[in-house]
Amino acid sequence: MAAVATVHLYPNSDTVRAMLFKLAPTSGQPLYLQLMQQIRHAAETGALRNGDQLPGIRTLAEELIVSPNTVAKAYSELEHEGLLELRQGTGAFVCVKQRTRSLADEVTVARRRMRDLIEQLREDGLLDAEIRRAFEAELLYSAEAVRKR
Amino acid sequence: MTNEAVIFTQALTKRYGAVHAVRELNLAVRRNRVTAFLGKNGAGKSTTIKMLLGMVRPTAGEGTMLGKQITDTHQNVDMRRRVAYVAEDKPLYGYMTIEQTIRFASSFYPDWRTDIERKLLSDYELPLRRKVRELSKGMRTKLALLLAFARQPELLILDEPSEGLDPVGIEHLLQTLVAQSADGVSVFFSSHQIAEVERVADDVCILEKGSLMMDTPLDDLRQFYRRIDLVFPFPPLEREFQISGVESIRTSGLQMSLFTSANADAVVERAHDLHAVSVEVAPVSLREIFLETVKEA
Repeated sequence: MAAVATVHLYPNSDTVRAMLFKLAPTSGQPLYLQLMQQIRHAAETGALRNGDQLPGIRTLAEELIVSPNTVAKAYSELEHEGLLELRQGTGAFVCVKQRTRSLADEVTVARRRMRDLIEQLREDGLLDAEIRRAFEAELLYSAEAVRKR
Repeated sequence: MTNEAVIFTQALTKRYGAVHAVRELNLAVRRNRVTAFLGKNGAGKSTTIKMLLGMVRPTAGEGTMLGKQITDTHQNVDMRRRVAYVAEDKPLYGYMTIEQTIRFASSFYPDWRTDIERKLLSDYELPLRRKVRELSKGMRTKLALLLAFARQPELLILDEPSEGLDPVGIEHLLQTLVAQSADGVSVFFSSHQIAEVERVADDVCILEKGSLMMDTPLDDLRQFYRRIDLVFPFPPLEREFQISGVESIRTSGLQMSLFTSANADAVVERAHDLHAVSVEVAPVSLREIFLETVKEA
């Protein structure tokens, strides 16, 4: 049931790249947040570069078949964060600063730590399915606890 | 974002003899939003829509649509020029062809969007010269939708718009709906297609036995509603979980399953305090929320 859109990006160079956004309506997370995270992730991994243009609100909403308010909210929140620059009539442009690049390194470090932890839990005799459930429960639990504060 | 309501009702009520079709309904549908109106068959959705349009007279209560009193005949005429409505039974003239129907309907509206008309004619693959009475149910629906969409109204009211449509037709419908919303049209639609609603709607209203059970942004449902499954080393007591936000509890032996609309973290904390051996928190789909909501009424 995931909505998928192939988005053609026209970056500063003449090359055209395709990118995939996937929104899962039943994943328990607001759709605008999912879209924000995917755009952020694309910027952190370098899939989106400084100056790249994202589709207009209407175009992306039609491709993903979600309410235009969802796209508008994601774009405006990202503009607030400084990751997007919205220009009247012309669309949304990516502004990648130095900081976002180092986040990619942080993710790499985090994955290494997770790998160690998973290895340890396996040695303790836990099955992968059990680890996954515990991980998801903790993630959800802590996310909600943080949100309440 | 403006919070102005395009539809607003206060204690709107319709009785047929002893039967309450709609019971003291307080509805506020926001401008520039896509609002889904859900309910089982006979919950009062169509009666509500017909009262809003002035087609059924309320027994009590009042309401406005685009700021116009729904029971005032003069204001109603003005309001209906700015509202497009696709009825559940899609009334059309059987002796006209599709082409004649479109020419006839467009003659009433100076702002008729021929670009939208042309796009939908090709998307929907409607045969121009066929008579309306010879159309399949799906094609009738598509024609009725085209007539509403091409008017580009301020407010679009659709009663079961996806009825009779195949998956491709539904996809086109949702896409047009999204495009209209992007053009500033407020959308209010009833549907049983919950998976589709879940993608495009901003807000969800649930009606059950004529009463409003829920009126919430869909993103709030996603964020706060949870199913929590617990396993304890001893039979758990339901009263330990009388926490605000817990909507229902089912217990079976050592297992307990809770449905919460808020405070999932408090439930998890309590479960840990009570030495639960397994705690699983899962998001719930709109379908589950709907079934849970109409079950209790």
